[in-house]
Amino acid sequence: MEIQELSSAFTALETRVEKTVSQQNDLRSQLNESNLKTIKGKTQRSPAWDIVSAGLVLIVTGGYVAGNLNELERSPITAIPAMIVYALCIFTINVSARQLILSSELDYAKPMVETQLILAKLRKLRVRSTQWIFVSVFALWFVFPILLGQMLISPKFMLAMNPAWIVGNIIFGLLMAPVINWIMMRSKYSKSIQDEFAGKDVSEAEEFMNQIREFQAA
Amino acid sequence: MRKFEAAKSSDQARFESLLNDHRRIILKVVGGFAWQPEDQQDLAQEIRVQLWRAFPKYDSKRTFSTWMYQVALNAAISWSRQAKLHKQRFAVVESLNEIPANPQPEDDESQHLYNLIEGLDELSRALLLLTIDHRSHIEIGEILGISPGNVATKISRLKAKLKLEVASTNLTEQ
Repeated sequence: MEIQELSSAFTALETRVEKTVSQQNDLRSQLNESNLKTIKGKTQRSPAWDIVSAGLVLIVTGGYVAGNLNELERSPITAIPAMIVYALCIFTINVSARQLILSSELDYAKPMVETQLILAKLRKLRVRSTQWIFVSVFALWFVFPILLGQMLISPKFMLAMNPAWIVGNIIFGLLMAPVINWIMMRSKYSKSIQDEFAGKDVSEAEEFMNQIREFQAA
Repeated sequence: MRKFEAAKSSDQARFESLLNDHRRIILKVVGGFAWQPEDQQDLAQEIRVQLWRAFPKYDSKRTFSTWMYQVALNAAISWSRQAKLHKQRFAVVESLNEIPANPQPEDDESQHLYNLIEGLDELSRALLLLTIDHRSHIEIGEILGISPGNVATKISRLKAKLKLEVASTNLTEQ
């Protein structure tokens, strides 16, 4: 089959596609309803939401730290939960901001290899960062109730906790993170969660980036 | 406010008219990347939306068809990669529900075409679509983001690959 033959065979295919596609003629309503559906929209909404959430947590934690500075200085160990939450929030804001920057560079009217390379980088960054956030939050979940207790009662609330309980929770969290990840990857009801956690997405993105670079090379 | 709405409406009318004049590009791209009727509708919508979003930045000094191919192919490749990941994850569920991966084409030639296209990666598929639409090497290079010389090399490799696949299919059939 030569290119000319392929071309004429494709014309028949186009006619069939036209029958299917012409059923959706209402372009105006499609354009109005499309905001939630497009790929570019998805890549921008989620990081923006992450920045807002992490920013709010930072503000609340900052308020607690500022209000109890003297007490936290007297017993620095009681500041650890707030510092861990700070670190998680700063990490989340950092990776989400990087995603937004990459996403803002995304322009479908630019050459294909350039746009697809940005998309592949974006996907890799998103999957990797979400995996890290997930594992960290899972392993350090107990920090949040401790911090909440400190905020509601007193920074000394932490000293009332049994250290063995804290160490036990760290180990439990670290062990459970891959198990939960595995279960989620096999559940057909959690597609959006799978999108974030499936490790093969990273290798797919890397493979595609290599494909693009090979394609660019003569 | 009224002026803004009037400008928006005139833009939309101009866009719809250009889209209608070049609708074959959408059909070609959709035909190269989606096989199920619902997938074709979904992809056609994604392409139209991306075209509309990119339209305000369209420079009228550029050929509309080149610009349109650029946006449509980018949208199709992104859509196709997402659809592929989705299908991989739900392959087990789909096989349980006995949903065929691709619809059965009506004739041998179409089946042949489907098989050939399906065997190519997304970037080569884009190159094939532009080649069978008789676009110049310069234009293809502009759309894909590679040099015209590189386009010529890739086309000759693609032709060789397709010939090989056709020959192996013919041997199998015999």
